[in-house]
Amino acid sequence: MIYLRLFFEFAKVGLFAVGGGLATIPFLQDMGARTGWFTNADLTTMIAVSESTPGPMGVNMATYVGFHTGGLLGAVLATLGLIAPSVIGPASCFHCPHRRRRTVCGPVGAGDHWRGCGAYLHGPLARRDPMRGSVRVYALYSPEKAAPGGFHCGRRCDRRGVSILREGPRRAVGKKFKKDGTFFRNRRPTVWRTRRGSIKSENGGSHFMKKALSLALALAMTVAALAGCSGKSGGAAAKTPEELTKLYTDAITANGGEAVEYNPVVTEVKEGDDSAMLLEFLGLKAEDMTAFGISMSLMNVNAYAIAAIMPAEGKADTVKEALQTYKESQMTSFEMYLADQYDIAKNAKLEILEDGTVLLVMCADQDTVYDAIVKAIQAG
Amino acid sequence: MNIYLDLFLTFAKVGVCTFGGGYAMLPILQREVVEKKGWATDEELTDYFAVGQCTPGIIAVNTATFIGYKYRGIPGGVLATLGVVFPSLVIITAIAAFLSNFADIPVVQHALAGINAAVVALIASSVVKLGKSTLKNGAAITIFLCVLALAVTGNLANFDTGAYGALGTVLDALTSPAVLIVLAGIVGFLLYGRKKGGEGK
Repeated sequence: MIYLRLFFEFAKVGLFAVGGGLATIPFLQDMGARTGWFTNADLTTMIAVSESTPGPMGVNMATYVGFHTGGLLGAVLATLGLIAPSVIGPASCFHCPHRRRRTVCGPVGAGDHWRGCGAYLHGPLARRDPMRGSVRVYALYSPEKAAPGGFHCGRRCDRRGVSILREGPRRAVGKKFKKDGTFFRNRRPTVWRTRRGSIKSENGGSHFMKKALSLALALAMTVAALAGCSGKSGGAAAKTPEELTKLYTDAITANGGEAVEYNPVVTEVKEGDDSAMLLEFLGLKAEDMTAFGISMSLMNVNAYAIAAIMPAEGKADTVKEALQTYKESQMTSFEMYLADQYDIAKNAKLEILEDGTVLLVMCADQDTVYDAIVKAIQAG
Repeated sequence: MNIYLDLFLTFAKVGVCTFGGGYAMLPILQREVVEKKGWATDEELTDYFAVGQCTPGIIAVNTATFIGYKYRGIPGGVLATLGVVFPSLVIITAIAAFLSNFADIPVVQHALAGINAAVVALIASSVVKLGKSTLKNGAAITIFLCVLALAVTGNLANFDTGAYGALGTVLDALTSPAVLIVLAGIVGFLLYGRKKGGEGK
């Protein structure tokens, strides 16, 4: 389900990255570290490509990461994920959910009757009039143009440029406010004005809307952040020991190289074979582990061991220490004996993966094998 | 021409002409949307751009959505947005496919190493520029320093739950960018909100 994950990871970036494409970088770094989809070096290349190609940088980054991770479909889904919050966010900002009438608020623009007069429309004023049906109220204000006669666009309105328009079939009727600015039914309207470039509301009415909206937005962001964090640790717990065993076996068999053929992956302790001895060599106890897959050489001419272990609850350190001790003992035994095998033992990689798996890779070309196995385990 | 197709194509054109971030987009938008098509006035465009900067999401995408939405409702918003991202999708997919085939060649690798160094410098210069315009008072600088400290700690130390237990989980969450942004938002809301209230009285 890499595609779904790509979509949601980038939707999260789109939701939190306020500002330009540069603001997405820390999120992408975090994403790379958590998912292993790309390294920091990959990211720098992506930034270089995104900055030097046409298109907004953030979109380019999303497309690049998506393609890198999931091919063409990945690129499309990552981009759509990134823009999803933008499309939903502004649309909900402009829609004022007031009394079931949805009204557009914002500067007067093309297609409006008041086009060109530099005035503002404000939506939350819209309300239902039980006698006349829905009434949409536009509060307009334009100090520069509030000359006698109103706006140059010719519509009727009072000197302050405040007017209401009744919504009806091809008819816009202007109704005047009283001089003190009160509405004719003693309701004070919220007037948005542009003066010295700032937008202010005359009374507190619309502040509530703004606050409610920003609060809702903050809440949504917090919930999304929490969901994102809890998803991190939830993944591993969902797998049963049998699934883990199979995952480890497949990951090691597929990526371990030819040495695996001579040392098949051991996943349980059985009577009558080497499995018990193998665990003893590694210093591990069966009860410390939920699941494991181990391929190692018991002959003392090869430094070779690949082990993926899901420790039992709270035993992560015990398991890791055991493997560390094993690694050191291999180094000691090869130090005076086989220089190349000593190097292999010394360079062995031992890490705890993000899903809790303790992974030891001691073999030739350990970096490649390690990366491949990590990828396989994360993909499973 | 169909109005929706027109929206899509116009914004695709804007997308092709935009290099770098959303800031580079403003003059092109101004020419295409205001002068040629008359879908918005100069003032409106500036407003949309300002709102696009402070709402979640990428500026270019936000602005496109705003204009499309204002002009032709929800379908307009969706089509304008798709128009802006369409060229990126095509171009970057082509480049990424191309680059992944050639990335292993030493010559390309060396060139990329050089380019990557330059990118780090460019980002640093953007950071300085942004900082100059943003960090103008004590509150902003305090938030900046706190977030910087947390983010750097998060980068340097990997708080895994195995080594640090429950504290590690908390620290790990605290150093993730999303949480930092939300926290900074809340702190800003409290700090500046109080200040404004004081001035009003």
